[in-house]
Amino acid sequence: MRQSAPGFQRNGPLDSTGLPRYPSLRPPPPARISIPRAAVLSSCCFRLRYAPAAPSTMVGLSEGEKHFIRGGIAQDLRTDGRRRLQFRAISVETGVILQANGSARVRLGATEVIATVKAELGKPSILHPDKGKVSIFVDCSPTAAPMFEGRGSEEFSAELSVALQRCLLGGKSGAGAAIDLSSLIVIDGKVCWDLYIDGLVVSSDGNLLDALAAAIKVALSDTGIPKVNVSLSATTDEEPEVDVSDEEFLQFDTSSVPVIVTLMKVGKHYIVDAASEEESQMSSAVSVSVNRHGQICGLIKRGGAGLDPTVIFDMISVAKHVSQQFISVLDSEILAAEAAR
Amino acid sequence: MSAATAGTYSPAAAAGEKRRERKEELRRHLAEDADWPRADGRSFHDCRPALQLMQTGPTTAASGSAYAEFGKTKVIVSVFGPRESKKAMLYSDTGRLNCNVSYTTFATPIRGQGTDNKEYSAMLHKALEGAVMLHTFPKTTVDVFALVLESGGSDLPIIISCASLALADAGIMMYDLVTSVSVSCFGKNIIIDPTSDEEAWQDGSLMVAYMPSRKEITQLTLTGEWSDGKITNAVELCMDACSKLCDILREHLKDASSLAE
Amino acid sequence: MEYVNPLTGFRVDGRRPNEAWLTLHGLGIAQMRQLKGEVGVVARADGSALFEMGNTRVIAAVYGPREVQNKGQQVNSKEALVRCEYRMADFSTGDRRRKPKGDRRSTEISLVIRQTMEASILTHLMPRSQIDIFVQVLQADGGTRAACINAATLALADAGIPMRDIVTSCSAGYLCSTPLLDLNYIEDSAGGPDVTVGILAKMDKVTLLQMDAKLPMDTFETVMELAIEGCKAIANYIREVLLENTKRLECQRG
Repeated sequence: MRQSAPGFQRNGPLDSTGLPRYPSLRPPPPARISIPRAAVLSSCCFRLRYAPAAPSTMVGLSEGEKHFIRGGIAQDLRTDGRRRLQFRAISVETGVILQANGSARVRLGATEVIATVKAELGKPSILHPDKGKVSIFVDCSPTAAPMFEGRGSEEFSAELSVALQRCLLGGKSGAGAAIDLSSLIVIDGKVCWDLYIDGLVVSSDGNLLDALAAAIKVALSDTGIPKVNVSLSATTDEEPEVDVSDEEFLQFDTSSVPVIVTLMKVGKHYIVDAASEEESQMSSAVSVSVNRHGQICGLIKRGGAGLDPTVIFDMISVAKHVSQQFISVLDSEILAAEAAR
Repeated sequence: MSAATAGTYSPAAAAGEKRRERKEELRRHLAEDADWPRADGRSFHDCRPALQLMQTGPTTAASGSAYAEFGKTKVIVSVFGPRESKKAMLYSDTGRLNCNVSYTTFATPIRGQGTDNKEYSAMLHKALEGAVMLHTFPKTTVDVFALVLESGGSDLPIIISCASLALADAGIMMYDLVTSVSVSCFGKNIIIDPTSDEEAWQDGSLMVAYMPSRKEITQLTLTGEWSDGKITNAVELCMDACSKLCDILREHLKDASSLAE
Repeated sequence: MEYVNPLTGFRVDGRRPNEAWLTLHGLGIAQMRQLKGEVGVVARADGSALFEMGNTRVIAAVYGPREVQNKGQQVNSKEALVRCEYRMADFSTGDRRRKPKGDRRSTEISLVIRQTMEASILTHLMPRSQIDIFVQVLQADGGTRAACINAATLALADAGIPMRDIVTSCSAGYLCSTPLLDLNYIEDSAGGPDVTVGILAKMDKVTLLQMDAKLPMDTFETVMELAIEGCKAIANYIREVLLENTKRLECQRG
């Protein structure tokens, strides 16, 4: 428990319940303060925790509100009426950006993200001549929050981009990747498809990572890669001539694209799909990417506070369970979105 | 002029060629699915030796510094502060930890490739954030600058361990030393403390940053496809290695302080 | 390349310049690309709007009036500080390229939008406060400047910020000896003159006028008149959108 840490000696030594070990040494609470004693205590504990991640510091909450949110989570009834492991309503739209090869808009409550996939012909790297390249970039629009203005979004965007790359692109050898990189090759060692996946956060109300991963999954299922005809007349040394078809497109096999489920630890409990107010109350979070077969393809821990290993394993198994429901909801939304086009 | 361009080009091609050979070898081993000797003679669950090659105090200008050498990976970390926050920032009753990881241009086989690892600064910050008692230096900043002199695999875990040693050397209050170890996954096999060649062909990787006395994981990242049981094994393996590495660091700090006296 | 087909009189995307020039005076807006405006697209912003002109698609969000964040930027404490940032999504253009943020073009357009909007906002009613306008281009197909201004107007109105009048903007050009309204990307990159006009629709005042090529004086007048007609048509459309939105809100209140 954090309370046993030596850093807490400002208020006298505390035992694991958060109450003073020597009640007589602690000055009585000043009479002026009219907030309930429990709230005062919990606020002390909170202040001594580490500052939460950058975006959540923007949420200005009063002590009463913080207490309300944490109390609700402990009772399995969150501020918007959800249960702890319940997602907000998700809505999915495909083909929203015309000039991309594939695109999708995903809304999770008030969070709205757009993901696009663009394919360009490029040259494979020397180290992996038999593979194409995929890169993921995320940008946070200042429309989502004034703090993303100017260079303010760079750090947070980079964090999201790295987390998505880690969770979706798999190991260096390509195991566990969302997209089979060898399917992107056109001519071995010469020409391949470079996939650029761009995410844009339009409106932000927490849980951006899960929303972005879902949007990328939908955008990939919407993506058509033009069929390429290679003229074989050229000798091996010359640059091969490549004819890109305007009419025929190849679809990806997106069945192995994982989803990301972020579990936030608030108090002793985990919640999924946290709104930004709830995000500000988390001590730490674990984002797990899970594919359809229940295999874990990536994991990243967020938030400053350390976690007990057993808690992490517990969170992984909960995330695995939740992800299967999320995948099936997302699949039916994709089908509905395709039917609507 | 033309000779020079040819000269700069051929080593990269040769390196690529050599790498491909090594990759073929690894693939052969994987097909056989048996234990294979690692390039540096270790067994799967052996870390590179750390004992002799960790030092505190290589840079004198810093409040604290540390140097670590694990096989080919060489890292130097300097810690400055606690000192006044440079940028005009909002008032904060906790201190700030500012982490920066940079690579020398000659750290990687291909010049300047180290810039690919932009996220390391943020990762280092996250791994240390949970261990440093930020409330002991309000309104001030501690800067942690890590420089990778040579990249030889498992860079980030070594940076994290080295940084916590440097923080201890600087006398920054911490709950515990943070040590970090990564493992690579090849098919069914898990190998610990991979070199860069092994990292280049791994199926998956997992890194743990751990505070052994508090039994808390401050950072955990995982990529590639893993089954449940394997994750548990790998994390436990990492935690065990972290505890041992932490003991080494602690011994080293004790030796250094007794020497200073 | 022929931007106006000499036989059929069609523009590259099938619009008709000549006929519409006539119909425009007869209250038609056939020459303009299809407009679409939607209010309240960003839930957490104080005001927001989506505006489409054909394939050009822009989102604007307004935060404020709120406390001035950076006191150094406040020039006059008796008036509200208006700020604006224009950003293009990486995927907004045909060929994907990552541009550094705050490049010259974005800075210039941010400034243009800020000055245009500032002219219509009643800044003296909100002293010591700040209004942020953020514009995000999702798809760029010519006329982003104009689309951004129209989106910003809608978003400001949605945020309930007092304005003198609705500011609308439209571009017009002159290609193949024909004045053309609302240029798309292909026409825009032809290198001909491109006039972007912003007006206060009811007060009939010009707040923005930009042109980046030379044009004979009398032709310029025709082109500008065309652009102003376009602005007025957009103003009518924006008013319709706002009216509909107000009716919807009224319905919701019961």
